Amino acid sequence: MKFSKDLKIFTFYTFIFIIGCVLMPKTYVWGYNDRNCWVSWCNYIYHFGIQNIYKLKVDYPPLIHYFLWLLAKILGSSENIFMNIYKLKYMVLLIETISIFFVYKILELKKIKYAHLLPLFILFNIAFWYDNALFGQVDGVYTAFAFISLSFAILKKPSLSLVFFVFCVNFKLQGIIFLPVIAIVLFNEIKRYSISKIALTVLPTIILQFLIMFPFIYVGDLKLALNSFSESMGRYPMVSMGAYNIWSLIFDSPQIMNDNMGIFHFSYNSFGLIAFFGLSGLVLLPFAFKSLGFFDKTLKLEFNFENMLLVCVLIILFFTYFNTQMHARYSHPIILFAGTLAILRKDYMRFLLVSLAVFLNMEGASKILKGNIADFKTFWFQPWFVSLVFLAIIVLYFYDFVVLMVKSTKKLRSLN
Amino acid sequence: MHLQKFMKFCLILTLSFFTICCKNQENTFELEGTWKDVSCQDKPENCKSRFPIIIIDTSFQDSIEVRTKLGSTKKLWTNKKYQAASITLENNYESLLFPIYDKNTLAYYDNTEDRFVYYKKTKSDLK
Repeated sequence: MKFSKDLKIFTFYTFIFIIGCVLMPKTYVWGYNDRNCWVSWCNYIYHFGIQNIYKLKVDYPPLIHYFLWLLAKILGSSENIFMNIYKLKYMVLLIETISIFFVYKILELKKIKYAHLLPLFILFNIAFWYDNALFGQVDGVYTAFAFISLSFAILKKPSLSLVFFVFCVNFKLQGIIFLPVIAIVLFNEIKRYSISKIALTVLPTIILQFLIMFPFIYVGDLKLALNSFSESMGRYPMVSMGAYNIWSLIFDSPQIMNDNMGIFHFSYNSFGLIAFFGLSGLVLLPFAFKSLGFFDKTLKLEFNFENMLLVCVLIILFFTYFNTQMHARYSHPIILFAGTLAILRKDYMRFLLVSLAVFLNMEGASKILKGNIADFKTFWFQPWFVSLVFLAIIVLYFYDFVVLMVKSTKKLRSLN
Repeated sequence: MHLQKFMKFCLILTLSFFTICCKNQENTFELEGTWKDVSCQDKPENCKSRFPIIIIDTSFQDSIEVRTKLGSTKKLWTNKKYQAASITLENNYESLLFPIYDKNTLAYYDNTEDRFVYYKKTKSDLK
């Protein structure tokens, strides 16, 4: 009975995925730089195998190349690769649809009515599919892996959580921002395990990481593969690379300012990192204390979906809002996390604001729907306006966090 | 027992993967040089493409030199990356000059004629 229901919903989502593929536009961001990279990498992999890709001096972690390898195998010639590279979008959409199916599974677990339909609020949201369908980027993949990893961590399945986290970080290094929150949730579970059980839990992760790296070890390119994780950092040392964040409120043109400049002996880059790490630490600290067993009697925090999604949403916001060198698309993961949180809390106001801000930033920076690269005149797409919307979102979610903290200590006070 | 089975499965998976995907070939392709449209067959009047000759100097990251059918030479803006070079056609279509490594050929897609244009290195440029 249960299997048949799941199968029906799986078929439903498969159908939506197929429709998505049929409607998928062949557009890419202006300049076609991303498309040209995918074509060049896919073409190289087609001729020389995945193991040699780092000889081309590419700066993306290994997992994306497995996607390109599969695409190269399917397409079968350099010409077909050029003409059909947009089909990489199908693969990204597939992973994104799987993440939406996961949202459904979480809602079903929570016995929420219309669990199969509510995730469509996320899937049919332009802010969710802009990055892949219009921009031609692949942020949806690492977002999905991070989301699935967090979900398994909350569901007390540490092995699966770690496996998906390995997928996440091996796809894009940005996924590392989810490490502290996933680690805290996992530690809360595995602290009860024996050493041998911990070893067995971690073993599949180590094997998987080894398998992902093996082609590059095989040809002696491990160092090049490892460098790919760090090489893209600092490549474009600008205060902003298109993200409408705090720097858009401070400076007129942060996209042409070097982030090594600064004031009070600190670079703008350092200010961004201090704000990001400081604020992230602040929201993570109570959960870290709880996980480590400190203040057990004063902190009544739960490692449930609502709380952990709230923490993730705040971390994504802190990451994109305060750091320098941020691209517009770096805020993409927030849609999936904030969307799921909105459905669980039945509070869609914040999600609407998030979707609006992400969409305005993506379109404002890339102008794909506008059709030309001339600046927008309307205030909706102005960096200062979008930045203010993001700021309002941070304030609202931080308020939720404060309320959660007050509640978690109030429970104890009322018990006393 | 389960662990043993799992390890065996991983080993088979790895071996199958490498037999499928890992083929080693040395990359001797060089983008730099003078490339001639293969349809010309050494006679300019045979040329079907807009650029019978493309000259790529990798020391200039943002331009390539092209020779038109009329014999004039002009510089085009490009972005050279990963052994390929972007090329914008007159209708603003953004194509890409990409290598077909096994044939030592360079190609780009011309959307106005819905076909690929292929280039081979001139004999003087072949090492």
